[in-house]
Amino acid sequence: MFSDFIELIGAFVLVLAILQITSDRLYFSIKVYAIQSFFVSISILSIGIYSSSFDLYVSSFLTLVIKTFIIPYALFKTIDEMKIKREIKAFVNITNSLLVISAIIIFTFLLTRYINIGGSVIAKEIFPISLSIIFIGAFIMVSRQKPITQLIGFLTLENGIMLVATSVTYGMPLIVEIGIFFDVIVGATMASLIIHHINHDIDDMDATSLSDFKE
Amino acid sequence: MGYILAIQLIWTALVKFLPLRVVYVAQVFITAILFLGSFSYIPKVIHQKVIFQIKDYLFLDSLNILILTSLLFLVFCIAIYSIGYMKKEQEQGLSEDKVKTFYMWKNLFVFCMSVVLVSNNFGIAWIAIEGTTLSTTFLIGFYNTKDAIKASWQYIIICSFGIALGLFGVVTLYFATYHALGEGMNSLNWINIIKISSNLDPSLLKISFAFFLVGFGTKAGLAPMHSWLPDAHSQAPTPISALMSGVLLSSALYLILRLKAIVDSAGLVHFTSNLLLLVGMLSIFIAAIAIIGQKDYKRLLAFSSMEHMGLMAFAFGVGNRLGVFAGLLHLINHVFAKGLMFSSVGSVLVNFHTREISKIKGLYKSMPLTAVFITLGVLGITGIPPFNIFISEFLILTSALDAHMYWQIVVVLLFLVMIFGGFIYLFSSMLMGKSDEVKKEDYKMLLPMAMLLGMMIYLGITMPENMKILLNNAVDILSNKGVL
Amino acid sequence: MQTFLMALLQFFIILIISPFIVGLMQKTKSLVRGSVGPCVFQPYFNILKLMQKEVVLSNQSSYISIIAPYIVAVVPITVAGFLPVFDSNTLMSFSGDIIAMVYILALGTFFLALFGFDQGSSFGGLGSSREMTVASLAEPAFIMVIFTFALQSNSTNISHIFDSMRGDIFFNYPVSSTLALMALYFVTLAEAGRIPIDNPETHLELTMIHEAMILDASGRNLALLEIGSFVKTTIFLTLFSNIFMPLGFYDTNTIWTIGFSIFIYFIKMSTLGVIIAIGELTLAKLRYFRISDAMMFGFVLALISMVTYRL
Repeated sequence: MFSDFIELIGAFVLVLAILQITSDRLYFSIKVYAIQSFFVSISILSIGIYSSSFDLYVSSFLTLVIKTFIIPYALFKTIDEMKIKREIKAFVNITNSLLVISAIIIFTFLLTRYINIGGSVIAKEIFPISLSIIFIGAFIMVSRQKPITQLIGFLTLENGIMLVATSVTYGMPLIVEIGIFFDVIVGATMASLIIHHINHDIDDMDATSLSDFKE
Repeated sequence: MGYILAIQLIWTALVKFLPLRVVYVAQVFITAILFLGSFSYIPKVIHQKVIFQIKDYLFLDSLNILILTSLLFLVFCIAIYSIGYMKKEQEQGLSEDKVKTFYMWKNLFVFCMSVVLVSNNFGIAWIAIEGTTLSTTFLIGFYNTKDAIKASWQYIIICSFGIALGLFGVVTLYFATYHALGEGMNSLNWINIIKISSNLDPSLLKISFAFFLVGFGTKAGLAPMHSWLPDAHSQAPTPISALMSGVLLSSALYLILRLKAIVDSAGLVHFTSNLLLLVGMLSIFIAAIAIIGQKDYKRLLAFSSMEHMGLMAFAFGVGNRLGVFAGLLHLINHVFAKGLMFSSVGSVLVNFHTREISKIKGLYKSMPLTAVFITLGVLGITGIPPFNIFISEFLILTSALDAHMYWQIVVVLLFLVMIFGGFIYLFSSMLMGKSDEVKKEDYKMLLPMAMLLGMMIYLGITMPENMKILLNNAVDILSNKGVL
Repeated sequence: MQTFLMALLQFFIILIISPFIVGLMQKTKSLVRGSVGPCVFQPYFNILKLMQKEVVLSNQSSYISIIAPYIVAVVPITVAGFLPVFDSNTLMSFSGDIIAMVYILALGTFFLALFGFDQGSSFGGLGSSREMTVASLAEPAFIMVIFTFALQSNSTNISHIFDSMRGDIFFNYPVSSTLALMALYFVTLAEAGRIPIDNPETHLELTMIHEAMILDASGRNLALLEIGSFVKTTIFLTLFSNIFMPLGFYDTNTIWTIGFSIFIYFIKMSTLGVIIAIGELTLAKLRYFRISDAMMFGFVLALISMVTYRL
């Protein structure tokens, strides 16, 4: 029953990742990200209660504070300051993205089905679910043009990793987790700073103009 | 080795508060102390095989002491070089404050790389690798031009992405080990994992290795995820390009090697070797294609780094004793060779302010001494005897011959010849020809080049006894024989 | 005989409460917005009133306009015979195949679209084309959801699914079931023509779908079309509450337990109606070209639910 609950939360995180794909507005994307992080923190908290481990309480609290409030707030602020247009530009339109996503999901489930995950696993389905979320995040990163959406894709991907790190095992060691949080928050801050630079110095910044930039 | 890290961290924090004149001098002394400190560990490591510090979070064994020492040597050379480089930049209107910022980030970057190398723990190594990404992002965007900002954006996004996949690899590894080793830091300690590696779940290790290779391979500049590398290398200030190309890529590859040792002893040698061979040959291929038509000489060198990383991956993929030996040797040789190339070419950049090959002519007239170093560096890096790269490339190909990989050798040789041709053609057009202007060459920039060149020739002619022992021990470690 | 009476009772319950559910949704929306709004029973009065009015047909229209309203009304009413309210013995339980049910419903949609075209006005055709687009987009998701539940209960017979879902299946596969229900929610919104797919309250030519098709209908025809849409909405809510999420009370031993079962069913339907109404208030209607994304989202949800169950 407990594993079902964790799997259910994991499924909601996956659904929110898919919702992220369908979003064509930045505000909506950020809200979805915040809700997703909230679900991740619930998942961590419930595993913490189940295994009564202090480390997981800490990391659940950190997820809640950093990912549900601080990062979305910072992103909202970045958007407001820079008056970024609301629309999200994508290389692949939403319907096709969803088709790709469904292929990805089937693929990950098939992949993990052939892997014998032995031992005492809290929730077995979390593994393919998180793998799907990771691939979805990666897909958002490659299929979107605006820097801020790419950042959101990265954060989604990172949520997937956080989910698998806490739900498959009883959480990574605390030092490692705090390090991960630190890196994510610094990375997001730096990325928003660069976005700031980009918007200040370059008018037509999106990833299409990066194409004259390869080779 | 704890104090090596501590000194770096304290120095990083101090840089901003000291006068620039002091920073220039102190940087040289501190890096010299660090280099000597790490050098002094070598006899100890040979004697004790492995040294632990701070419980067992940090460790030094034959594998990482070699890379650490060559890293700190390069850092020392770059510290001297940076004085000349940054003074030239200051003459052209770079503010003192920015130079200090440069030093701060640079030191943080070197600190993170040192942590990657000496950390016994995959979790901490992951954090440190991500730290290198974050600390170099602003260095790549240092000049605040349009291209620089784009390059830094590309860098942070692609590398964070890659590193996140690497984190998934770490999580999967932890998932595989925590049954055997229990929860907590123990389960991510390399020393602990390698001892029990044979009874880990192979399917999980496979996933873990695949994600490690893609993830840390991004940082190592290996083929499918290399696209950040040329832009980042060409936009960053030259001392940083040298450090990134020389050691950042190698330290990411070093982590892959550590995991490979574990996965190999779980009986998956074919899996890891084939993946590395594939990735390595693909990298060499892409680099060869990109080098031939190159217009920008810093990008040219970036692709050359990619080629050498590919060559190392190839060597580790060949996987026999000689192959691993040659791969490690190549890793160390490449640090010096690429240091020399970037510093000599950086002098050209700082004097002429263009990265386009076609706009530079007659370096022998305008900067004769630098031109000599460039010539020797080009010959060295493309694998001409008596330079060290020749030895290791020769050994790599020999090892592949031992493993009966005939067509792979032919393909790799073909690419190497293409790269050789490209290098000679492009650089000769820069070196030869007429030029009216004569630039003043700064001895502070020439001295490190001479030191690096000296190391290249020295390692090309002979190999110190200690180094041979360490390399042999390192090969043992990687093939999981006699770790302790 | 007794089972037949029970089946008949269930059939009539669905028919009778359907206008009430729609009225309840309208009332809820009005109350939340702060206005009083029409009475909950207003749809009944509307139907009665329309029944007494004369039918006016355009002189461009053909026999389709005469027969289509009857078909549109009869099809959902027939389907209501498939659905259990408190007992698995329904009017159609001998052949109560869920896939048949889906395509019988599609017949109604088809004739509704024909009716729209047949009016000869520009809006009718517009509405029909939109309705068919939405229906064809919603169909894959709907079928996917149905397959998920059919797989879980090893049958496509509605009564069997009802019986086995009342057992432990819902709790055996909570992830799969929840995702399927979420997908079904999207399908319900599309098929019942609710926000964010279609707005039943508006007559704005740019956005209306269902209203555009019945714009020219009048009198008895309009009443029949309205009945069809009410019953269809109720059918989807019943599917939601009784077949796929059978939490509640089902007992047919005595007359009192039957009464109580019906009461519970009624409460469930009202709750669902209120939830949908409140959901409508919080959402904005999607642009027409975004509907495909929403339906695709539902499809992917259904797909995941099947994948998590079977793979």
